[in-house]
Amino acid sequence: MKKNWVLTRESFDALLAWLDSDREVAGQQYEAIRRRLIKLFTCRGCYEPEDLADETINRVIKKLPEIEKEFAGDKIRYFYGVANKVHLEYIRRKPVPDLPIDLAIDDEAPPNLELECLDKCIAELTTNNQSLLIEYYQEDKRAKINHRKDLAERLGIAANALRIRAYRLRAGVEVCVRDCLNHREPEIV
Amino acid sequence: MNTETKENITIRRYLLGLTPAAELAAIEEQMLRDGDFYQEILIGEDDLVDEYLAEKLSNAELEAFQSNFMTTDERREKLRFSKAFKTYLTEAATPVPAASSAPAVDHGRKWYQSFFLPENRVLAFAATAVLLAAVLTLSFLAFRSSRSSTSGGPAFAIPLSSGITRGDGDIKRVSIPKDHDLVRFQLGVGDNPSTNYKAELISEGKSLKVWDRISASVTPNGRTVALEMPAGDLQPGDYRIRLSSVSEAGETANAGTFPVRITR
Repeated sequence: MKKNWVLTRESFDALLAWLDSDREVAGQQYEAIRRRLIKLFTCRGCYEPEDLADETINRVIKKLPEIEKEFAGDKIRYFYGVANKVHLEYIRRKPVPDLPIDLAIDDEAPPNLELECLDKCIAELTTNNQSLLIEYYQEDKRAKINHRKDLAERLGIAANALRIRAYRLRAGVEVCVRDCLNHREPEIV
Repeated sequence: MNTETKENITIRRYLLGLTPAAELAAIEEQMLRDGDFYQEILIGEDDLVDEYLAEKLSNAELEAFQSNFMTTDERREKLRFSKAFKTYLTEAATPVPAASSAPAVDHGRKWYQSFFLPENRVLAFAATAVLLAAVLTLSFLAFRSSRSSTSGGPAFAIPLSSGITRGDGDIKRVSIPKDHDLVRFQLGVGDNPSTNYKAELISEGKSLKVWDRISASVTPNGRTVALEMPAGDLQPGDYRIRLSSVSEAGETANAGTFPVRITR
């Protein structure tokens, strides 16, 4: 990418228009593509997945004036192709370092601060959701399958629907805890 | 079902970086294209971290987890969260009455509601009278018991504030004098307007005691919730008191956690 290229409001709008004629739908598509590109680079072991995802999108935006009129192909595949190129350049530019993998955390008890935030975030859920979250994840793996099947039956939903509901609750609590930690840590330093 | 299992295996191998190169593009494209598949990958990440913490990964998986999976700050944060969540679940695993532990799935009328059906009103009156007598008896016994338990001396007051503690240095240390048979924790609740609280004493992930239907009172130190218990029940160690406010509808909300270390 040329060094003097700068992302402008107009070029970003052009990307949205290319993705979908409905700007709101296009915005959702953009968000989804970005999130998934970040995950793709994460799964490839890249240390800066967000930067690489943004670089991929920027390159697509930059290419748009050339391709948007005649482009009739698969847009996701196009993003994927550009992501592969960005990744290749990343590997050439930055050989994967042998970073020390810090897994020491699993030998320590979680700090009180973390448990405080967890308490607070779970308490913000409705009582039903608190119960669901705790029951779903509580059992040991051996008992888990039957336990979750029973739970799904009691709730009157399919096992997979329960799985997704539990995951979303957990993901919401995870985000809440992260926000809580970011908000609280400066106060006690 | 088989397809789902196969998909889970595919995702697991992908997350661990064990997917053959020839299959990689198909998986990655599907992840970019298919929101449901992307969501399965996110769920797979949580499952993998949980299995790591539960020491359920095989040696090969463990090696792949450490070298291929745990490569970003986001995943380290996920590991940290999952560790705390596991601790929370261990604490929550203490037995609770089935009615409150189960999600409120309404399978029809609850057992006690049948008492109030017109055909059972006599039964309802009788049950209410028995219940009232039991409550009065228990209240009297509790009152007598509390009086006798304080006979060895007044309650030893331990004021606590809801604490954010980052380490051992911040935790309140308390030594209970030997001439006190009773301990009274005084939990500062600040501006919390609730009139009904529930408290739980926790140590080493286990729930030791629960106080229900407690109210706050105004003291020179502000609004506090007082909890009493026999001093002999508090062995030296670290404790946390988890306080929840309880709304009229029975919904609970976190009102603070109060750490304390009993040194004797």
